[in-house]
Amino acid sequence: MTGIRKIAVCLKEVVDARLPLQVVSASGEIVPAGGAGKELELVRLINPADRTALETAIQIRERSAGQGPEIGIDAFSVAKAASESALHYALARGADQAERLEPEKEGAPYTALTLARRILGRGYDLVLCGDETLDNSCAAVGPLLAELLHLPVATTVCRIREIRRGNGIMHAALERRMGRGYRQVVSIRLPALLTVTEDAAPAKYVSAARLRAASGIKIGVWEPPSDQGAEDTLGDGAGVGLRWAQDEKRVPPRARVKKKFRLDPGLSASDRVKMIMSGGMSEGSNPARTSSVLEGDLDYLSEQIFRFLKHHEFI
Amino acid sequence: MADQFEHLFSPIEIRNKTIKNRIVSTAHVTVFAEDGMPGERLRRYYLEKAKGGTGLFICFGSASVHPSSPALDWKVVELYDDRVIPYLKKFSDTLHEYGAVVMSQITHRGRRGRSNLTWERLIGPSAIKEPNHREVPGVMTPAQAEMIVQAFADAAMRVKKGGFDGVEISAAHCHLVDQFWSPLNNTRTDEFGGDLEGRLRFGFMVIEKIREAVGEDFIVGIRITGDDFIEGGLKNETMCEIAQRISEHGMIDYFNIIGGSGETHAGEAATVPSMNYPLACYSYLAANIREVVQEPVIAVGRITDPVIAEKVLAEGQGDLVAMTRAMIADPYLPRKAKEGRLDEIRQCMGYNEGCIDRQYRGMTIGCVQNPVIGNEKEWAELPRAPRPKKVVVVGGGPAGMEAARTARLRGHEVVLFEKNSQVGGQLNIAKLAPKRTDFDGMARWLEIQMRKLEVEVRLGKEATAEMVLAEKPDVVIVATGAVPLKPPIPGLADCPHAVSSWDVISGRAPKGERVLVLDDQAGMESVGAAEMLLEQGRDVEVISPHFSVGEDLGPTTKPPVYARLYSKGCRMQATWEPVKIEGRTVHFKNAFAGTPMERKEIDLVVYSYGGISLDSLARELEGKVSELHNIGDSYAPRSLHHAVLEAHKILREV
Repeated sequence: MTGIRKIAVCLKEVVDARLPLQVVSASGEIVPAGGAGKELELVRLINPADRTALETAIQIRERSAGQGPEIGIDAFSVAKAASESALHYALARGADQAERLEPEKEGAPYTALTLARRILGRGYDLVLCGDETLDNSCAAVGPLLAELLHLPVATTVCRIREIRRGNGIMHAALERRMGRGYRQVVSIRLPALLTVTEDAAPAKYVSAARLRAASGIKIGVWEPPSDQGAEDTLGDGAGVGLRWAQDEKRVPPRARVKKKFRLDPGLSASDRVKMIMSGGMSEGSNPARTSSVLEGDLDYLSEQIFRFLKHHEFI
Repeated sequence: MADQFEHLFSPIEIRNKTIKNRIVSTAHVTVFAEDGMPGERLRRYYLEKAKGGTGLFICFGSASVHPSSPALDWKVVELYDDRVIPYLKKFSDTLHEYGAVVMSQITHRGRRGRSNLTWERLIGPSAIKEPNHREVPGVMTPAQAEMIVQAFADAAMRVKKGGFDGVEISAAHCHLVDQFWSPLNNTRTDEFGGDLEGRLRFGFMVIEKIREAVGEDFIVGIRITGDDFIEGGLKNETMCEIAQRISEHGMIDYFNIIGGSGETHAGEAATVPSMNYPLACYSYLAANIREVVQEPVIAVGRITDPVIAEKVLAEGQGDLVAMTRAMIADPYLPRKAKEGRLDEIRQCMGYNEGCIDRQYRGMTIGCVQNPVIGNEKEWAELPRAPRPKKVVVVGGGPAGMEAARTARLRGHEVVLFEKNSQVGGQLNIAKLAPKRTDFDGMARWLEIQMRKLEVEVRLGKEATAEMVLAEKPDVVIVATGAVPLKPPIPGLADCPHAVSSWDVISGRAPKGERVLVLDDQAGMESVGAAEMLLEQGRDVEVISPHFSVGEDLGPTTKPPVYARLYSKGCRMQATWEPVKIEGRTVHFKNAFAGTPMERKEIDLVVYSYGGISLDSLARELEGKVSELHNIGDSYAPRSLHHAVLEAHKILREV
């Protein structure tokens, strides 16, 4: 029994910065590496850590299924009208509502402010964000939003161990990723805001049919009232945040590994060396043309097939 | 041509230092340090690479941070005394002049070595001897750990004061830092042992102390293995986790990924993959680690030409490429590649006998192909001869071709006679043995050079004294090589089923199921022939009078050769001398005890006793020409390294 009733998930659609890109102007315009002549297109996707935040919310709901009223999941994205794909994805994956928030200005503090204005006072027990985005890696929206919502915050959460309710109070036991590979186990009182790392919950497959169906749903739009400036709301901290956001250094993204190869970890050390010496294949054979006959009981056969598929990254 | 290498020649920034291209000369031991200092020989060795356009230098392999690092055997640079700083300054100034970023490796070898040179007691994580050097270290106390950690930081500061741009921590080859990582070597139960977190503690202390000392404007990289290839050791999966944790720690600026580990013979051979391994054989390890870290990754391992290097970079397997041996063979590789002069690049063939295998035996490194390596101070420049001469070279093997090349570069007129239809000499035989095809590259390069230099090559003509004299030469170079020596073993001369290993490798092995290989040559000839026969499905035994079969094979060559021989069912016996052959029986006696042994029903005897000089032409020409030099195997059958270096040395003086 978690006691959670509503979860807010913050999403962002980003340019896939793991593809070759380059910054071409002082204003920070991003284009595919190689320029226009290379016939590359910018690929946009839901920010991976945000997708994990959504997945985390779905998992919490699934784990608490049958233990009370179903948990409501609302997805929000501060985005222009052309960048609603993250919200469509959220609906396809199982969010109950999705809403696009019209951005006031660019920058992490403004994004946090817009989200705060929409989320504040709506009774969310948990607000989930990705720990950082692919496009600028500020990792600032989550903590800023928590501050604005007056919520405790745990950043870089890589695992939610447990959410429990006792004496009317909800707590979440979490693992946070620390430096040097350490994990910090913390307990946080809910309601709270968590920023989750990309690998906190593996994304599940969403069928094409669901994606198609969701893409036809008209996304609701919320526009912030124009009576309040960002600096006024955020006070002194906003100035720091804004200056920092403006001074951030853009590092060109790294090329993605195009070919992967892993030796079967079950091989002995000497067999691994022999495989490398023979160019990654058995001596004198081409693996593409190699066939083998498996014999044994069902458990053995299924284990071998599983290892084969895993090794060759089919699964 | 530049577009062909758009990745290779694009700059990369590491901690605010811009590296002009992606080509790295990684840390390697040269045995050049003089009394622990990087003196003139070492400086000149690197100077040529700097002129050649190397982007990043990580100098001074295994440079010691503390006197207890057992490194005198390799004459490494000693960074534990301030007197090194002026040497470093001169060194870094030299390389900076050519726009390179200059770093030094720093390490403590822990138990990897022997204390009988330094007489400093070895220290390691646990009292477990390294299988390779077999000396048990003392168990490092926490106080000693603090002392060594401080020594790392002090050494890094000396490097910084010496004008360098950074240091690289060696946590590879099973040095002290990665000795702590491996559960095979670290069985401690205190805070430095136990689970991975405990085993990583010492390394993180080193990293943190160095960063604290050197500050933010100094590169700190780390060299690790991607898979130590040791049973129960550090597999790729573990190393990915370690790398990820180091990356998350946020104090390291790049990762340099080797394969293998120095602690066993097989692992040590794998660390510097010879021609027994494919090109770029460890790029997959770099790629796997690159997937889990944020920092640039250097891909390492037989990246020997710019085309391969570009491919490694373009496919995202590394951010930089280590071309260390490639630039030992040709220090000017980057410049030649950038200018599109690809066929002028003398490509490393991974022979290893001239570089790393010499170092492991305590000898200064060189290169079997490039005689200048290690002799830069004297030989980097090749002055033109004061008076051009007519030079006739007889023999188109490696010695003859190197002689012709050197003579032509000095301005002489050169004619080369080769009795066969192609040049290459014994290289043309050697390349036919299993995993030795890279020898072809050496012959090809020398042939291209002769063509470019307009050496007059006369193929298919066995030169006689008359033909040579008819050329009216000022200088004659006889490089007629050798033929296999048939040893005076009683019964061998009359044995109808005996051939030389050269015959076997050349594809002239008669039929015969049960084969006995007599290995006196102790190099590749006998084991190469044995492997060819095994591949033909024959039953093969190799018997040597020495302590081991292939006794003279280098430490990075013997393990892969043994691995293949044993995998293919070869039997090997050492310390047995052949006494006589009677019919199909070969009799032996033990080299020490004199006790007898015999092998019966042998179908084929393969003898491998090296060569015997073909020096008749040299003798015939004695006194008939004004200057005569008999070089290479026709002087005395020796190694490829001897042949090339001797040819170059003599022709510098002609």
